Amino acid sequence: MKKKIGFAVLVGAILGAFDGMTAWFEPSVRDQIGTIVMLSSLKSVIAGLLIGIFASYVQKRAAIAIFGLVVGLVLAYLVAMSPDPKTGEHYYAQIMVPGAIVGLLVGYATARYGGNIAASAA
Amino acid sequence: MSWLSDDALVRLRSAASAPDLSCTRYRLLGEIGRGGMCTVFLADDPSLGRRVALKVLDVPDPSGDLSIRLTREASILARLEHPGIAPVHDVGRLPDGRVFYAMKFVEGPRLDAFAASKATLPERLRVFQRIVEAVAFAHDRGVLHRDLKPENIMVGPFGEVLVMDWGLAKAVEHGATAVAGASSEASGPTPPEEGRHTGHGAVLGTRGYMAPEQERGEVENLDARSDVYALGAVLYFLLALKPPPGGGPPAPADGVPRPLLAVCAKALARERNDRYADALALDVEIARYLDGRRVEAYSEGPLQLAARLYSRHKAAIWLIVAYLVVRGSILFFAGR
Repeated sequence: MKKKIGFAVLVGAILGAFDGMTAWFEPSVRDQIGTIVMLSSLKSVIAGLLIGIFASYVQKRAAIAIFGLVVGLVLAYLVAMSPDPKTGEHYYAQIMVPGAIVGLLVGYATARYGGNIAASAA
Repeated sequence: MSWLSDDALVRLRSAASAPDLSCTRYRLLGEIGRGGMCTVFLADDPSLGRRVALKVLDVPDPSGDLSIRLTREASILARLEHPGIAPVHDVGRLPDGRVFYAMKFVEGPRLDAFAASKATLPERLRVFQRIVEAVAFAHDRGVLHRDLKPENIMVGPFGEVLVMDWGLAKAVEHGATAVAGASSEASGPTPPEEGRHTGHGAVLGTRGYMAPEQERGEVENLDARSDVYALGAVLYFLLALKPPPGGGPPAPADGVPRPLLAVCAKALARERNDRYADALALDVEIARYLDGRRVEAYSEGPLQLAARLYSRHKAAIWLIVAYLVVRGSILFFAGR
């Protein structure tokens, strides 16, 4: 159980960091890249933790993936609620759509590969 | 004098060969099948309220060797308690002195009928794995089957698999995975049976499914790898719907993936040292194929490797592509 949660948290941290790093391609926020990567990783670690706990009780791959999608969407919405400090704009779609896919990926990866790792380690 | 019709003669013969079960607890229901030396009857066991299959010796046995052989078959089966092997319930003698044993009555098609059905490749392979597991269990208990073929395997209505007809089974002293030393041979003088090749009472098995060393009558050299050969032939049959051609590597057949053909070829190697070391190694190889992992018997090229990895991780790859497309689109449109 702990290994599954650990796996989900690790995948979440890696994908969250990668998602945050894509902000480097946006010149207007490039100077805040460190904060963005850190917050994005934190968001995905929380998502990974929730997905890992859920995956410890639920065996169905589709259910875990959908749970990941929902968690990713909700956490991304919380992030998107705070406006851009410079422009005051909200970037709901720009944050929520990739966030949801990252959540889906963490959920799917945990369901598909997390069990194997837990089993082989046991 | 009145002549009897053919039908009447058949009925008379059938009645004459029907076993007298008066001193047993069983009630005869009918005949299921007939082999070279035994007939299998369907019987009712009223004390437990279940139907059983009774295997009864059905040829003259003045020396008593065949009775010993049938009793030994029952005792070998009795020590093989496994879901993939039909359990023996009872052994005894009929009032006329014939030996019989009662075993689980198995309903369902034989493996050859199952193979002809519309079962998918993974379903066929999972059925094959259950066969291999039963045989591996027998090997672990020091028993070689020596007559594995589709006709001797039943597939139950719930997908359960039962390896039948252990009449040629051989018990080896030090476990079947070791080269057989002194053995408790369940053979002896054997009357010819349909589809079985006999000679000097030593060459026993079925052509096409019999390992070369078994066909040469090298009884002392038989071990788990001889059954692995037969399992390879059964696998080929499950995939190609025909027995493998004798004397050479298995021929390519429509719809049979090359890695599985390579698995068959390795199991069917003429030199037993070239085969899988035991049934479990064959089981592991099939599991690898089902999991989308690399099969050890097959060396794949880069394109085949890419195709296999794509097939194994298709969903994850498409999710990553979807993420990259979305993220790329957002960056592209935000930058305009």
